[in-house]
Amino acid sequence: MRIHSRVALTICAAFALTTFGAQQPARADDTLATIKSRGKMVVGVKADYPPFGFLDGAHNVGIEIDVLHLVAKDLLGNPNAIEFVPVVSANRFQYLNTEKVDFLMATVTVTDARKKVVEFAAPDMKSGSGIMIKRSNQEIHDAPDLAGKTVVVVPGSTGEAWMKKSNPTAKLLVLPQTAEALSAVSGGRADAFVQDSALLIGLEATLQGSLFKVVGKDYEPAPAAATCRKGDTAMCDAITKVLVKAQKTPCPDISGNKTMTCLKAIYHKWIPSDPERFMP
Amino acid sequence: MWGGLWTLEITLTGIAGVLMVGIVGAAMRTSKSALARGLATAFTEFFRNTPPLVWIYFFFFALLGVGIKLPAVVAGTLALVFYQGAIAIEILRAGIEAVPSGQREAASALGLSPFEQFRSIVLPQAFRISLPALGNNLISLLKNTSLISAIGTIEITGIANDIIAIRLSSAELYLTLGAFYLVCVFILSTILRFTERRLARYGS
Repeated sequence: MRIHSRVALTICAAFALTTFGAQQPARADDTLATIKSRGKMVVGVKADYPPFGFLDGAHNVGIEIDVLHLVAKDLLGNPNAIEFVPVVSANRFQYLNTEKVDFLMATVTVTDARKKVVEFAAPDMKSGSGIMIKRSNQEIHDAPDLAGKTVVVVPGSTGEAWMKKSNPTAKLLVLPQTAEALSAVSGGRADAFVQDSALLIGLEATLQGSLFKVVGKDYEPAPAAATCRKGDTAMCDAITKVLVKAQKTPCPDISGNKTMTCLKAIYHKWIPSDPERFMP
Repeated sequence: MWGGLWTLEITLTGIAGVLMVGIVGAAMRTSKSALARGLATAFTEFFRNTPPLVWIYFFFFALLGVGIKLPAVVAGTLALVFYQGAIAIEILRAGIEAVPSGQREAASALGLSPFEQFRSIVLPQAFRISLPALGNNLISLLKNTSLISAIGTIEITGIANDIIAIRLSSAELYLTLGAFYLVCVFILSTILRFTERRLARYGS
């Protein structure tokens, strides 16, 4: 018995040591070189986030995906040299820091707290928090109406942070992904879903629009950008260069006229009614 | 950490529920009534052969469709009780069948009613025989409470996930989380070992 415990303890200790030992800070200065020698970039993207990153059948599509095609074309000479890795808000930084992806293009809002632990490229979008409710709901019109209500948020999202700060009396229900959050609102488990207004507008424009509506404003709009590992400025600088170029050079829009910058043409393709609303 | 307390509370309620489901189900499974046997067999096969996560989602989301709105803790606990309970039924059934038939015949000769036979003669012996396997089932119940993190931040895994998503530091928190379960399971298995030794005094 006693010997067994000692063996077990030793094994536990060895496990703990190797786990801590393996946790080296990400060596992050050569991602750009890695991408170029590999001929492909591996990017963490959203797959449940229209119109920024979502799935059309088995294909990743959306505004951020189109921006990535520009980046791949510029850095690797092939717009399709991308491997998309789907991430959600709750796990995206783990994917980045454990080097499962080269960088993130996953609607990451730029905040001071995050600047301490990751690098950001120039913003490619901006979004505030928004409120989505059932179409039949007549009680909630604006942020103050959420007081005392049950509000569903996704962990690690700016919506969660905004609710905690601006509306502490609301009851938060934290669910892992968009799909569960929408089920919770449609089933009456929560009164509202608070998340990036850009996503909510995107969802409203799809089939979900018959069930849900967006109310209120874009609360505390903030830029979002591609995200690289701490110290990996070369990677993010390269992305910034592509973005700066995309904001200057004209590109053909869907009808072939070269009247817009490349970035605006992308936004116009996905949000024709109001392309500027979420542009950086 | 309130999450830790919730994990323990769900586990304790769950243990009570699993034992109840297990005992009633095993009694039905070994009874003379074909209806009771059929019901218990159907229940066992249905819940044992499906992943508990499916039932957690079912009780939390799908029941809303028929107007039943269970709180997340209740939905999660029920799902786990049904799943681990189905396994407990099988474990206890094996225990009951391992009790020599002479025991029941002797009890019957003494004039005990079928219910008294089951309660005072068969079940105590079956319980002692089944305890090691039953203990494993209860330990797996404790660990499976982490699945409830899928429907919100109630118990400790859900809360840890939320903190990780905000603070971006995963290794330390996952290790702490692992240590928490390790300590809890160690305590639970110690209690089970103690109970086993106590019951062994009565011989077999």
